[in-house]
Amino acid sequence: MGSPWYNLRRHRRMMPPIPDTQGSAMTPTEDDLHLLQRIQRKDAQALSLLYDRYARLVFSLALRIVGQVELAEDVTQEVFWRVWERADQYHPGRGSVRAWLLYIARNRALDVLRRRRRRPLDAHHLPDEGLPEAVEPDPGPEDRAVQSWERAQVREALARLSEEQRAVLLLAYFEGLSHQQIAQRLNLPLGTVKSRLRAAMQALRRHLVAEAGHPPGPSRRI
Amino acid sequence: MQCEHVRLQLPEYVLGLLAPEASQRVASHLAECPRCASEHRAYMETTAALALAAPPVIPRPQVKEALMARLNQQATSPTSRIRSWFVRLLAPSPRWALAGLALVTLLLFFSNLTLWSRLQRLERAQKTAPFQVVVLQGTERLPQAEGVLLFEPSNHYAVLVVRNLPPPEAGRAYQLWLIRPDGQRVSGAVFSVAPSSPWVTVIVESPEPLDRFPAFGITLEPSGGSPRPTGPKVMGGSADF
Repeated sequence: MGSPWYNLRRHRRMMPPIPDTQGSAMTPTEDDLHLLQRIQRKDAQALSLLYDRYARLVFSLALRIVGQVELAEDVTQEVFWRVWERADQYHPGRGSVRAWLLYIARNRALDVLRRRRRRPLDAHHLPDEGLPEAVEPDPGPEDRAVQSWERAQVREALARLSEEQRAVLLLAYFEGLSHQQIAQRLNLPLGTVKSRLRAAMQALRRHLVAEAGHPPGPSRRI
Repeated sequence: MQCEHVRLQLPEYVLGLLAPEASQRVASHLAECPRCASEHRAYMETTAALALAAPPVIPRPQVKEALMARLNQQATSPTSRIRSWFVRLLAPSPRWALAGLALVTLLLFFSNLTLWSRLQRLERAQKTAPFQVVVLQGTERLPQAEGVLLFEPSNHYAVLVVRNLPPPEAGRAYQLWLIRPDGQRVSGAVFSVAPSSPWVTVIVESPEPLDRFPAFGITLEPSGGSPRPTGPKVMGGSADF
């Protein structure tokens, strides 16, 4: 069982801050920045550490989007390869390292998904149909507790959205559908989709802040 | 662009839902407005948090092994070895390193003057024709081959014009590859060459805006094309965005 100090460090690492509604962003965790600086100097050990830290998150997202283990593995490898090749393209001012990684992962996974959709055989591909078999949830010790807690917070924040808001948000984020495609899928006017999507993102941001009880930051959660 | 309008669009901007032109306008504004940039960061983190809604799954150990093997392969490549040799050569003698640096700086200065002059000419030319032109050169296999790829940067279509490519053997065809920054290849077109004409014009269709591809290549493939390059590379060129 990890000590409280250990857990505190884990929280600092795993929970990049979400700026408050006034936009007073905290800086990304120093650990990640330091790792990225080492990666820029082509330190393979640093990439290995960053991989251990975020691979599960990246892979889970990729798998949720593409719905196939092999493709999600390809995406995961490509994301970290890109970090290796382009670590200098990260700008702390645009968000945490974790947000950057997940941004790359989502874009890459959606590229794969869109290519698959264009093929007739994959026309019925629906990532919502459940996880593939043969991959077990991570049984890691402290990570599991911390990430479960984080996931619970996000689930709680999502649950506080209206069903209509949640539907458009998840279709946009996990399936990469355009406004028009969401409108067709849900049989809604285009304007409604746009306004619901904006409202959903604003509400989610508010709820995530409220879940933490303060302008959220990992060091203040314990 | 007004802050209020940008902030209204930020949720869609971070989700990648804005049209390219609107997205570019937001990006330009964010580069100049610290308050909106701060709002953007907040939405980036909010969006990232959505990833936690995905069921947690760990990748197999082979994924990391493949990644690290790729790193090692790169580290032992000839280019990398030359770089390491150069670094080792200069490292023990800072005086030589400084002299070398001064020489390189001098060369770069004159080189820059020449390049600046060329750039001015190119910019003048581009104002009259807002196209991106990528020059393709034949590889050692077909050094006489040459061509250009012409497109509008944010467009999905391009025109490929090549000459001096010999007709492929029976059952084979040429295939144009659009190369992503990570090296991943996307097929752009499959084409053949008639023996009667040294020129070929091909319409290229890309799944993404063409300015996302920094390099292009042509390989010889089975007729009908391949999902990934399998044959020898015959032409290649890089974009300069």
